Amino acid sequence: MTKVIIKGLTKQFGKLTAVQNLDLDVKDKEFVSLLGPSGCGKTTTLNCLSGLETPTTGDIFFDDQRINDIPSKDRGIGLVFQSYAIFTHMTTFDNLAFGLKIRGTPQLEIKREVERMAEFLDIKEVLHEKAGKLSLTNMQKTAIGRTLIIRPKVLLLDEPLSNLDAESRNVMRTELKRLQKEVEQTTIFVTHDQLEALTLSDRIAVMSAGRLQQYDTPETVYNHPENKFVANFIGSPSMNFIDCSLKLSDERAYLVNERFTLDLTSGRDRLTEFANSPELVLGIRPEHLNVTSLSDLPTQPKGSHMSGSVFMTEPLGYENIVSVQVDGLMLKATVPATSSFEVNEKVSVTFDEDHAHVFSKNGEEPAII
Amino acid sequence: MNITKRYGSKTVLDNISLEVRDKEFFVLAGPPGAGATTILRIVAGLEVPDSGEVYIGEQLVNDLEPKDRDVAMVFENLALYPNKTGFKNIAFPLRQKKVPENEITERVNEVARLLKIDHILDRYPRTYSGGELQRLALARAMVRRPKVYLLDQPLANIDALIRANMRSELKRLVREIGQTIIYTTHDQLEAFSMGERIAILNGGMIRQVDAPSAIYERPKDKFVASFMGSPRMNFIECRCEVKNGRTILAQESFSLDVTNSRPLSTSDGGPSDLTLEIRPENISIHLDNRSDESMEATVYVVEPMGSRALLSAHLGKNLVKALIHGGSDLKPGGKVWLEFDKNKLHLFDKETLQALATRPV
Repeated sequence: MTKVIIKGLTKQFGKLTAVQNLDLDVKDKEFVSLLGPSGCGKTTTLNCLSGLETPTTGDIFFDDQRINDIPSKDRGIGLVFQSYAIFTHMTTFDNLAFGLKIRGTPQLEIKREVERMAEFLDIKEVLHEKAGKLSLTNMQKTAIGRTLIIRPKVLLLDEPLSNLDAESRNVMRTELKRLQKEVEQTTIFVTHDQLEALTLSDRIAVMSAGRLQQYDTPETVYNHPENKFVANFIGSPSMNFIDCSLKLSDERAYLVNERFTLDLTSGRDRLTEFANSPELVLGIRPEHLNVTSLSDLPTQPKGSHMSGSVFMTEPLGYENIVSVQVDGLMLKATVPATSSFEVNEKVSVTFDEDHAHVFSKNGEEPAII
Repeated sequence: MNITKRYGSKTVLDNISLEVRDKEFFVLAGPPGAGATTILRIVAGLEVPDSGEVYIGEQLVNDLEPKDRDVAMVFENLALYPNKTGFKNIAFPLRQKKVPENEITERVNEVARLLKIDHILDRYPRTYSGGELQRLALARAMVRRPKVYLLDQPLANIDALIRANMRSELKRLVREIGQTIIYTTHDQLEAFSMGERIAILNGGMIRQVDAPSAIYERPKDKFVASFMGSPRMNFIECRCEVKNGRTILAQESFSLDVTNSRPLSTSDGGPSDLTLEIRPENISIHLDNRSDESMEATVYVVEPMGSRALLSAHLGKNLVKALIHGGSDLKPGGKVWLEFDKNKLHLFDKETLQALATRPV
């Protein structure tokens, strides 16, 4: 039963502020990802939790206990790194047993615990092989197992899937997800991979330049990004951004550019405060853009439509990505795998207005719609 | 142009033959160590084959020096000169050939314009973005106007977010260059989304050469089927019975009549063990048992991926993955009914791992 509370955490290295005034609460048994590009402060935050770094200011609590001044080894944490910190000359069994042995656990109990963990991780068959001979996924399972077996209060995972090849990473991701559901272990997971964060987490803390950008469930972070940075970072292919101007009349509100006018009257209240800085950004995910060949349309479409030409198509197997050039703008849309577009084909692009996001130009300012 | 290569080098490449067509974008794809880069280096003349011949056009090039082969190679690490400006990097191969200075200026500016780096030619590579560096390296290759371009994993070292954009840009660029291109990658998605034709390699051998859609829809063997596509193809072992003209696939947890989509020839005789393969996007799910074709499965894990989710569920002993919409109402341990798109499944011989021929429907 451990919850983690981070209050006003700041970490400076000389003049560089790696983490700035971070507040984060992680509930008991929750799996939280710290997600962001390199240099966003996610690993520094993890290092402050593990005790590898000392916060410049701010407090960290495990339940009600402030741990800032508690040495790393006494914090009750389990750490798993990108590189498998296992003893390659020892067997899988001895690796799993290691933490219990140095705690003086009786032999019989060690055997029982190790076998239970091996069963759980599905590495029973390789228990008596040298860890150095294991497959990459089994090595990483061993590394996680030897950490879990000592029942840490908080499990800290630092990019544990990064060294795996693509297929092993997919397999391990699914396993980690199952583990999380079954062990119910408070876990903090550092990653730069948005897909890992989406698939694994109860909540995701998206970070950029040392600051927390959004902290919410994967669904909310994906469907309701709090600012342009989050919208751009989450989702692949990335969200499309289109520069627009705001036009307000007494009762109505529109977002316009040369190509279309979007009626946003329903969001007028939120838009009025931008009357003086009307340059905004419209954001639409690739799955909410519809691409139609102009030759398939009897007449020029009306409404919010852009015409352009196909720049390139990329089949992904289960769907295709079509890049469409609209004047100087490149839009990416995902379309069914069965559809086919030719390069330079003239197309019309429409979008689903219910899924339109509106941001201010500054990436970190809150989303408007 | 024909390029044919036959080698008998036992360790890395095992007696392979390939023909890349004139002006084709040809991808060599496989896991690390499969031999893709070695083939590229042999074409470039950086490695000497133990046996076999390499032709460029009609010319046997085995004994030609790399510089005389009329090929240009772009390496994974780009190998740009950090202490030369963009202009001087591109001009370098021409200066070596003692091309007149005014022609150099003209040709460098021409490729720089095409690759949209003409505005930054006086800057040093360290000030370029990842995409600009890529284009600079390409420009240096293009300025020689080679017959064949060899691109060795050009996107491997690029950040994932930028790579997705670079893929479509590079594909478009390559089309505009309009020359023969041989491209290596470990990334199945890159191979699939970019190549006109792909050679899938494993352990120094060619497993299949085909257009991307043919490889995806009709993989020749289990290796190709599992290499192409992410999330990966499902493999489900089952028995096949050909009886009274009907083809039935069965296992403890299901029985599926595929007579109308994948009828096996009756001459194959009685029941046989085979592997059924189906891609995650060709499985639909229901929360109730709504038809004879649905198969009851137990939810293992649901991984939300933004616009879709990846469901892992146990169908008998098999862990089956399905790419679905929604999925937030599925809980581990709960029941779910799977339905396979019977037109999209493949049958493989369990022993030989080769695709089984089916009778036309």
